Amino acid sequence: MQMNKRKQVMGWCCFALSVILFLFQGLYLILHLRWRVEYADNRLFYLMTIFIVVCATVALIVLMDLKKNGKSLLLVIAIVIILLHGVLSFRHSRAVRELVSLSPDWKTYFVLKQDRLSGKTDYYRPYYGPFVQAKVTLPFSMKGDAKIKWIEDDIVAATYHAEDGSIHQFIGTFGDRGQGSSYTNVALSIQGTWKGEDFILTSTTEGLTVKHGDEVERFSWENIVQFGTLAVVLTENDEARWTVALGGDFISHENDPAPPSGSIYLYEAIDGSTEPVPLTLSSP
Amino acid sequence: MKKIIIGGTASLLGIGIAVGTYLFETAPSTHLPSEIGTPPEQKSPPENDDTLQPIESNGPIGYALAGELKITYDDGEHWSRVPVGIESLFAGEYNGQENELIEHSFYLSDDRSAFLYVEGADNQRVKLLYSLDRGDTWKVADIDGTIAPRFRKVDFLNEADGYVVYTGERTMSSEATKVFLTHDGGESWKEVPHPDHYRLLYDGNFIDEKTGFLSYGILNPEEPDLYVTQDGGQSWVSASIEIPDEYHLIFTTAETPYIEGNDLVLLVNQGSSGDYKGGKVKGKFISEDNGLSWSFQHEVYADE
Repeated sequence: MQMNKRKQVMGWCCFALSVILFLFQGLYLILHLRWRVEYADNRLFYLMTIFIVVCATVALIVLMDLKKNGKSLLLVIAIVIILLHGVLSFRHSRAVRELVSLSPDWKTYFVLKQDRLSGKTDYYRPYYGPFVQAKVTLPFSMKGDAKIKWIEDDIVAATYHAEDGSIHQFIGTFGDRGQGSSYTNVALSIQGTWKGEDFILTSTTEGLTVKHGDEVERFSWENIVQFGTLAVVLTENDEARWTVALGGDFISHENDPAPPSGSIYLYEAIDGSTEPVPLTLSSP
Repeated sequence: MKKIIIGGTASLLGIGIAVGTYLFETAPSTHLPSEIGTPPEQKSPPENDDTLQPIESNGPIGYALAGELKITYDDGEHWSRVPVGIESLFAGEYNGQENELIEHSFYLSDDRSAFLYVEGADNQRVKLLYSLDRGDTWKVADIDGTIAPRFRKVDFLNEADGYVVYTGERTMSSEATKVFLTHDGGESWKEVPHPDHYRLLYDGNFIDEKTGFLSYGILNPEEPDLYVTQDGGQSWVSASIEIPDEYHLIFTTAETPYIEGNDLVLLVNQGSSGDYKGGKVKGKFISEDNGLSWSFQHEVYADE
């Protein structure tokens, strides 16, 4: 009797869960069809459907007094639906490469979706929970995978190759750390000379200079591309060379005469594992 | 009853899943319009004189940088080599591209070619290399030493009079300004006093041998900061620019004044981050006391 009751509770729980997930999935479909909202990873749609089918099947077997043939039929239908969604999910994976990366503080995430056939890659902004919306198409078709590196909790760099083999960086920034009312020119807000490890970065009104050992690279304004209000990418011959990102402790002192304080990061656009180099102001 | 609820709901779930999957699979792709860019055409240095293209050409007069500096007075038919190293032309506090000369750091006219450059690695000196015969012979005038220039400008007002303005020793938001005048066609230069002011210089000029201007403030300026001399640089005073209230914090950076007809005209732009009317308009001011005070006329478009 006790056993029977426990099964009943489990059956009702599965039933309720399947209904709730089904309604959630319905809400997603409305958002998707009407406002182009997507799951961060579209395979979540198939996974969710499979989970609904499993819960509903368990609920039906437990709560309904089905005969053997009825149970078999139910299981066959469930397996067919599950297999179908497994196949659809696999097919989707082959058509679209989805790149989801969670921020170090787990508060946001970075999403890229690449059409594997054309290489065309879209950047998606988190919308609400697992929902995202396409924001911008990367300026170059992406070949292969992107290397994702979180420079700060709100700055992430995706380093990727274009079809012609050239290397590029796309920076996702989340928020502006300020009131959100004014636009900040990143390169101008870091005026002065910054040092860290073997690197010296100098920002003047003419542009930025990166010195590493004996090698000096100069970047004028037309070669400095800003992302959000937190980072710039320095380019040379239409390829990315460095990302300069504002550290979490960076204060620009834009409205008073004091020099900027805190740290900035220099992140090189190359293959392989590299770490962002922290720099601090050595002379304003 | 329980069976009807559960069975009915399960049936609805099944139908919903089938319809939902169909809708999801057939929904149009959410891909954004393509923004795939094509790389800008790269400038490659010309290999010989036949392929040199004059830069900054003033009629048939122009220059080219192709491993060395050359000038032409006939729209690229013939070229003369300028005897100065490329690195000397960009020395000092300059981080821009080196495929064109620094703006204002040279002067090319029918009867004169002149280039500011910096000599020496440790004991740097600012010098002017100039030619009065279209590049056949060159002379060097020593201007000043000790500070490596950031802003630099040379200009001639007539055959005899000219000026060089340069700045250096920049710290965060201050630097020293140096002003030099010549009255013998560039052979000798004499430093004249400058305003007791150390903001970063935006621009400076002379409109005749006595009247000159220095405009300060390039980092987030809030109002124009223009100094004027009417005695050849011996004394400088802050010019009074009457910015109407509605343009306060909008027109912030004074350009160098110029003569237009009978008027002395000053354009005040919006600085590097101004966005009033897309940042495309400037304030036009007129002075009736040779630059001491300026009254607002109207807005002008940047290319007006």
